[in-house]
Amino acid sequence: MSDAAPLIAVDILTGFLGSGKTTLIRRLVEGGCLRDTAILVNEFAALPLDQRLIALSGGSARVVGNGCICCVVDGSVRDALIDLAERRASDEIPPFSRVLIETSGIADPAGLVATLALDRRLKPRFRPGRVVTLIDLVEDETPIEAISPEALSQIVCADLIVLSKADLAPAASPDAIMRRVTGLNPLSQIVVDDGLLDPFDRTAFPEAPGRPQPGRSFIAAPAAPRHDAIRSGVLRIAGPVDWQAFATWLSLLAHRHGGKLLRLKGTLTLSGGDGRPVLVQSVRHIVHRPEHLPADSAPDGLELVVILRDLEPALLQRSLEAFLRAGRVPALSATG
Amino acid sequence: MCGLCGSFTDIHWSTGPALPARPAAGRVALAREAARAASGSGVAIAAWGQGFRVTGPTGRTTLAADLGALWLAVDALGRKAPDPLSEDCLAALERR
Repeated sequence: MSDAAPLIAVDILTGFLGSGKTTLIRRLVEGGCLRDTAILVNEFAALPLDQRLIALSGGSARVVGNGCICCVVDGSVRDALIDLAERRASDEIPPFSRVLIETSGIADPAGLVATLALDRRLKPRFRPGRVVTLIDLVEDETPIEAISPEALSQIVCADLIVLSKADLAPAASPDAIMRRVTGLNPLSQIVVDDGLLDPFDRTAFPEAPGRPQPGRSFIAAPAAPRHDAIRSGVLRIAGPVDWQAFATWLSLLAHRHGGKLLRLKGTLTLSGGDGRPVLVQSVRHIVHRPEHLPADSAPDGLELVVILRDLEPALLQRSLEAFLRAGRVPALSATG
Repeated sequence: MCGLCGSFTDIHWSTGPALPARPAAGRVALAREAARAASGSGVAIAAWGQGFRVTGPTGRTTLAADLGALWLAVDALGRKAPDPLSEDCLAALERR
């Protein structure tokens, strides 16, 4: 086992402009929920207003970038994270056990997730944490995900979706938004903010092992006309699978169709393995490092939720089956 | 030791849960599977050192550190880019 320091989780709070991100952070700071957390705020505007608001609540936030996080992520966000880690190591700043990044409202969080998963200087210190997306219940006739590709990506990348501003829309029913959002991302939990909620509390909202939430439709119908191209589904294989055949399939799929493979998450048990399921997930071209889960925490075999653009889940199922079946046939040689 | 639990954080994801006491055997198996998937492109793929060796139909060769780099090399050297969802690829695999 490694004796290195544990990796610090980097949680991401995202949501479209005006969805209440800074309000939520202020509330969490005031409630003492972020005591051991370093906060990074990405502001699109030159004026660091959100930073000032968080400071008013007694928190301390550092602004990164003067532009959208998906545009500056390779520079200032990475530098800010490395700087945080180094200053923590030299006791220049109080110790912290996690980082929370508030993205700008027009950010696509997929780029940030990719950087956290891949950057060689970040990987020894940080790991991708939870993506929380706020959606404003007070919406007009245009669904939020139809406004921009970034808003859609914020929903698709989410591990937990919080419906905000329920107090400002007392007559609004969240059911329609929940159905729509479920159709776009069956992996995420969805909760309505009651004014007390801490979406980063792992006890209240434990990590989901990559299965669709109970009661969700597995093959989701597109809810908004502009999202006819978005499909979700579950790929299933009975029994343990061969890792090399699976990894070859997933790496080639992400390489060739990563732009359409919006999200993939699920578990598999491995032939020849120790029985513990392995959690696999990807966002577009980026496949996260797989994780072992405790034994018996997931069904035997393979179960992967996929969210796709312009692709059918049934085609992926056929492709996966073909790769796994071929993997059981001895190759004539190791060359093509 | 499982690669997931080891101290090396910079390994490619595909190496992770299958990295046993014999990592070279894992790379040979990955090379075999990749060669199968790329069979229509005319490239040869083999495990090589800590990564893979990709040789195109003209004999031009390049080394790839992991599967991500391997597919880029196959695209660059092969007659055509393998697509796991194409009818050609699926039919070839299903005929085996």
